Amino acid sequence: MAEEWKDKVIQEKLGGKKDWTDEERAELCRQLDEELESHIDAMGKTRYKGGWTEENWKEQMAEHPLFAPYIQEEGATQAEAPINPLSEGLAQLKFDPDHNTPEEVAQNYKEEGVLQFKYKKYRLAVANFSEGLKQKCSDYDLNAQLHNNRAAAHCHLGNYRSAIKDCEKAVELKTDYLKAVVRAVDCATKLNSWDEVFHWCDRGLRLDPTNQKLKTDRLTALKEKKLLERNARKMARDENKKATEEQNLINAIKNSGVQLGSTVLKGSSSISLSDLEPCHPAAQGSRVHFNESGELVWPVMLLYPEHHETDIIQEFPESDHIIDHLEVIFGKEAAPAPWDTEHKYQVNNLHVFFEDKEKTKLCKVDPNQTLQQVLRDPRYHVLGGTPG
Amino acid sequence: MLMDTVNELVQLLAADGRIDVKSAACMTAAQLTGTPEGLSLLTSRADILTAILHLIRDSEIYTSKDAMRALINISAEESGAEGLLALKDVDITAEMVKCIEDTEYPHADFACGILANLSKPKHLCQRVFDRITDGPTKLEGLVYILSQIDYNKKGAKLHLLASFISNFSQLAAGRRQMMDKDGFVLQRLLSFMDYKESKGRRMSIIATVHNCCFEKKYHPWLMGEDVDLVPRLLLPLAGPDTFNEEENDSLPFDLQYLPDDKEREPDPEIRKLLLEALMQLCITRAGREVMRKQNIYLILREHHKWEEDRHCIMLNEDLVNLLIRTEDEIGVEDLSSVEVPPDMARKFVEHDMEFLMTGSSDLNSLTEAMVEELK
Repeated sequence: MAEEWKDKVIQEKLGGKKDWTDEERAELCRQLDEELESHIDAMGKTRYKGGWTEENWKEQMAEHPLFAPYIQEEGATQAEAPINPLSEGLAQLKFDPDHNTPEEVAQNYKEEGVLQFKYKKYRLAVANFSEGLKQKCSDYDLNAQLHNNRAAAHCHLGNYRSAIKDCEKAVELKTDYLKAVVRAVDCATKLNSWDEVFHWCDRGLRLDPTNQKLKTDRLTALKEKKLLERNARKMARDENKKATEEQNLINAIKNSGVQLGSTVLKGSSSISLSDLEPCHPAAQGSRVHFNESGELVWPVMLLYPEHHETDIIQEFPESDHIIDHLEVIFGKEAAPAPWDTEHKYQVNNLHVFFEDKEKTKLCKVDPNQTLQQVLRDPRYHVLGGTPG
Repeated sequence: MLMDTVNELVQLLAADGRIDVKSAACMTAAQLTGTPEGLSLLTSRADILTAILHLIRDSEIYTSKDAMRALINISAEESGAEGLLALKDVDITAEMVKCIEDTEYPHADFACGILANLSKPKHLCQRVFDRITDGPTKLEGLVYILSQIDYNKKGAKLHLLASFISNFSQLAAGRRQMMDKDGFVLQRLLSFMDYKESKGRRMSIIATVHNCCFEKKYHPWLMGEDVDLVPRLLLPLAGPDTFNEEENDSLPFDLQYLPDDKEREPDPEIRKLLLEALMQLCITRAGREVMRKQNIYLILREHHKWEEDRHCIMLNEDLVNLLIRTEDEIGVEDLSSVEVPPDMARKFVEHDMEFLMTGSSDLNSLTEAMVEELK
């Protein structure tokens, strides 16, 4: 085919002449050269316009894929980002396994990742390091670095657990990798996982016994852990104390012969503290308790069915006489209650009753008795922790 | 006649021999070490010792085990230990350290025992220590191995490694290496002070710490926050919490709000070591003041109520005595500088003996007499 083409050219351009002498050839060359020169001259002297100027060379350089950092926008996948064909070509060259050894590819991914890291694109950095590790190249040091770098990126993302896993791998590959150990200590500290901090500090101090930072970190972890343990012990003790006190209270009530009714039907015979919580809003917060002399103090409710009113005596020691409290409420010095328009409620006029267990009868109460005596009455039931 | 048999034994122990022959020979050697005559016979022959040493890594596990057993018995005798250390062709300490470092070596516990035996006699301890320090692993490496539970994958617990290390604490150089501020050795041991799984390890570690407390120069470091030894010495002596909130808050964190099931150290020997260590830390005024600030008197008070061992009670009272008095009363900055005249010293010893026998205590009058005399 080349022969045919040659014949064609000779036929068309050279008039079919096939036998040339040296001089004739030289002459032909000279002619061709002249033609070329005059053609170029004819083109006119125009300046090359596409080049970079003094002003715009920096921008141009930043945009040109060969010089600019190859940065994808956050979140964009390779398909979406508008890629300069030149940069895509470069990328393919760098990462193409056909053109590179696994070590080179891994190294390139590592550099890529480091670049992303510098620009704080940590997720992309992680992706790049992961790609580098996928190459499973045989350079242990490089793989260790990839793990360590990925750990650093994870750290910045707040994925401390993943970071520690990467540090572990890094140290597996490179047993004297102090940087990875220190990173693991920092991550464990952020997680407040003190036992892990000890573990990593111990490993680090084996590599470098003089390392002051590790010693300090270990001490901090020790202090924190001690504090945690001590607080746990204190809490346990306080809870125990509370439980014993509650139990004592319940026992005292049981033993005093006071009967508790429950607003909710329950099958169990044991009383819990919630049974004693007063339901009445005014009595909230003043649950039955022991006072200094060791006697029970109850919140007592007085009901006035005539006027549909109630009163609450928040603290009524058992040993007090009912009449004393009535004296306070209805006595001569006390102002009459707002609903007692006719001032009928006077101490000597008052009849005090309680409802018996089955709510069938009203039982008369002698006001000269103490609360304790009234509560002990077998017909009496305390409801909602509030004798009424 | 006997020499021929022994020579034959050496040949049978050759490492490249037949498996069953080696095994039988090794077993014989081990059995020989069980008797005093056999032991001294083997000890006298460096070639037998070397041959046994070469079998400790034999592929046949019973052979290697017998080899180690033989070495344990040999090293337990001082003459045997000398003989082993004197071997020129092989460095026994280096070999044992390799066994310990090897996570897969099944007889690592024997190796620890052998090293402990070798370092027990005082005049040999320094030699072993020097060899370890010159070697690659060093004290620091051994402590690191000791501090990892389940280091050995074949079931060796390495508790005797603690005994070996505690032998080093008998040497001043050993103590100083352990307490080197630039290194990180003593701190690793502290967490085993309440190690319940092994009394041996616990005792050895506490003995080590106890010995270290005799280095007065290190007291500030020991009682400072890098090591914070005082609460750790007290924790085994402390029982369940009996203090109110204010008293609790005055104690170091480790000793606050102890649970109801807190047990004190059951072994009186160990308690004695703890109390003696605390005594040592009281030698300087600064030390006493640290202890007063940490309010350890409370712990000692409760301990005194519980303690039954006479010796421990005596130590407790001595300690409390020092802490309760003011510095003016004590009058001396550094108690180790006080020279006790020999007759007074004798009287003190007699008094201690009397206390231990009968339990009566008239220490105060005796102390005052001594203070008078020294003025």
